[in-house]
Amino acid sequence: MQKLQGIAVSPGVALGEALVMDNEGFRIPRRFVTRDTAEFELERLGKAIDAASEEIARHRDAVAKELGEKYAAIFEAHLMMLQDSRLRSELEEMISQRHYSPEYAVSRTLRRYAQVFRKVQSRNLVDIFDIEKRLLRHLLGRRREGISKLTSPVLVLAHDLTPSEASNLDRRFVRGFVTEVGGPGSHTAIVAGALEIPAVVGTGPFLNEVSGGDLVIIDGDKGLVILHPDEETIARYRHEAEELRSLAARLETLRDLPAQTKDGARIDLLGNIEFPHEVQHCLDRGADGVGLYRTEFLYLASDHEPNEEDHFEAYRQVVETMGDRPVTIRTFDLGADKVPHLPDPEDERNPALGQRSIRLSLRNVDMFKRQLRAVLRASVLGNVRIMFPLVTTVLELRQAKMVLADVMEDLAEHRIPYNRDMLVGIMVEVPAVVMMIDHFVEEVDFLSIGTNDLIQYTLAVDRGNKDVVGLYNASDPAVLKLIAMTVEAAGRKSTPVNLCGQMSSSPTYTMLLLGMGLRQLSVPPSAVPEIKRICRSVTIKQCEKVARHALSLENARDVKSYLRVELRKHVPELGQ
Amino acid sequence: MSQPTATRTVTVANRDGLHARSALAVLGCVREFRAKVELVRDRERADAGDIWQTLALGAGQGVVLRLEATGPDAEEAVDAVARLFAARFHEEDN
Repeated sequence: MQKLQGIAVSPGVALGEALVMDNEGFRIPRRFVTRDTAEFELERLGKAIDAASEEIARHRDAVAKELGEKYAAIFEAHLMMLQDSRLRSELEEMISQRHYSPEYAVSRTLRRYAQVFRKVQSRNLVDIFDIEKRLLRHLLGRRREGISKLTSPVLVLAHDLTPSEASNLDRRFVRGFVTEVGGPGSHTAIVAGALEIPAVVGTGPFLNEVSGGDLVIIDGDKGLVILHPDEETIARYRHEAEELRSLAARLETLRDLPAQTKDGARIDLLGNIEFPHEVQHCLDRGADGVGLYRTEFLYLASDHEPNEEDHFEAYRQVVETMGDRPVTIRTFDLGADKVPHLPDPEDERNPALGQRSIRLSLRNVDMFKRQLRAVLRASVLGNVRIMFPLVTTVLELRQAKMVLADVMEDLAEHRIPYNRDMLVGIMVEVPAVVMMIDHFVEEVDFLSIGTNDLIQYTLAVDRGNKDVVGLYNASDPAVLKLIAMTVEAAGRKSTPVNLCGQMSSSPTYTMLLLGMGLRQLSVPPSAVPEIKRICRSVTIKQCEKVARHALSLENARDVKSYLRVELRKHVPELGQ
Repeated sequence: MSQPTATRTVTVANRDGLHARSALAVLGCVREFRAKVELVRDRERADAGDIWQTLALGAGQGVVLRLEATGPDAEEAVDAVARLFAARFHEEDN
């Protein structure tokens, strides 16, 4: 049994079969083959070894010719390793005696070698993985599959998941995620949240210690991953999974009750969603609407740019399902580096500060207009609002609104119906916006504070970087001050303010946020019952007192521990 | 009648230790001889003619190994292998 500590990014517990993805994003498909196909599988192995050998030999000759014999020696060594007769007989035995698939046998054997080597010296690992990858490539050949085609439940273990891999997952079968790198707010975390499955990121390297098909436990509450668990641990986690299901069932009873404080203040509890299917989760949990509909999946899930119909179809589903309840659609919020059909950016050394989000939309007006047209067309089907992300200056906001006005005019010309009074808002996620918030409130219908980016830009911390993720802290007084300034300025103009981002779904902050004057919170659907329970257990007066005190503290640690004490005091069952 | 044997002690001197490339050099060297050459590190033993076994010793820089050869040209074989170690597998030549 082996325990790995990572960062917990999506709660819950899962036990199941591992699906190990390598850096190139392909997987070892299955573990066993049937008895009568052993002959055929042995032949496949032989062919793969031959083909891989030929490939290495070609490589060796080319390098020798170009750079000299000395540089080709490494390929000669790989060739020797690959053609080793003992390795070959070991693999053959696994296939013919134990009925392992050649893919599984290769991965299993070479990973076991790697483990032996790793204890003493890491230099040779690269060579082993190179050989493994080469053999697998030949074994899988054209059948080389991504993770979009699955047939049984799995826990996905990967070095990292690209956004497109994460969004292309077959969600009927994925029960949990672990990635070696990444932090809270990474794409894996968001997708896991959307799927409501446990996820742990930033565990550090461990993939060479597991093979596809191994039993693995993911503890998304503690950030633990357990490889090769013993019987006792398995039993304990089975029990825990059962308990979690029954707590969820208890919170379920809140579904049809309003998120209203004891002294009668009505809180709008909205859902954050990424995929259209999640709208059902919002309804199931009794959310008052969709506070944040991310649209990135449209750009990531396929290799062509989404056309107007792709957009419209995704919006229609959600808007119609929500009926009168508001649906806030956020426009494109990605960097060019993440989008396959946009040209690779040349100068993107620092993507968080680069050409992304609304900046990219304003540079690619045609792409932007396609999205806006679809949103406007969907606006007559329900209660639709639009929101621009990463706005930094008032001029940028005006530019975006001008493009929107353009599209409206065009639709009117073609007599295509749309709601000309559709509410327009911005995300507040750049500190510069807070500094200029008095000007912004004059020109928007609503604000939505995006705490994930606001924290990242305020504290200058990349939340995807495990070395500094400890500095990323929602409790930082500087962050609280920016939120307070925003809520205050909005209050003067009676502009509605919503708060989305991870901070809104953490029970620790609920009293503080209500006390600062927020009356709208947007959270992942799974968090709705928990946050509602808190709203229904407190009074605004208590919350205001908590906020006043929290805002007087000078560091994040004091703020956080104070908030935890207060939560325990007022809502013992959730304060742990 | 027993085969001639020879032993020698060598130190892994090159920076990267006994990795794929240097193991290959050792393998190439022992193939020139009829004697069987083994590399011994503490209790572990590897056939110098088997690249996987050699790698599994995980001998990094500074590790001391014993060479044990058995066969008609055992003496010449350990000599040649020892020279290769001393020359750091010719890795740092340019």
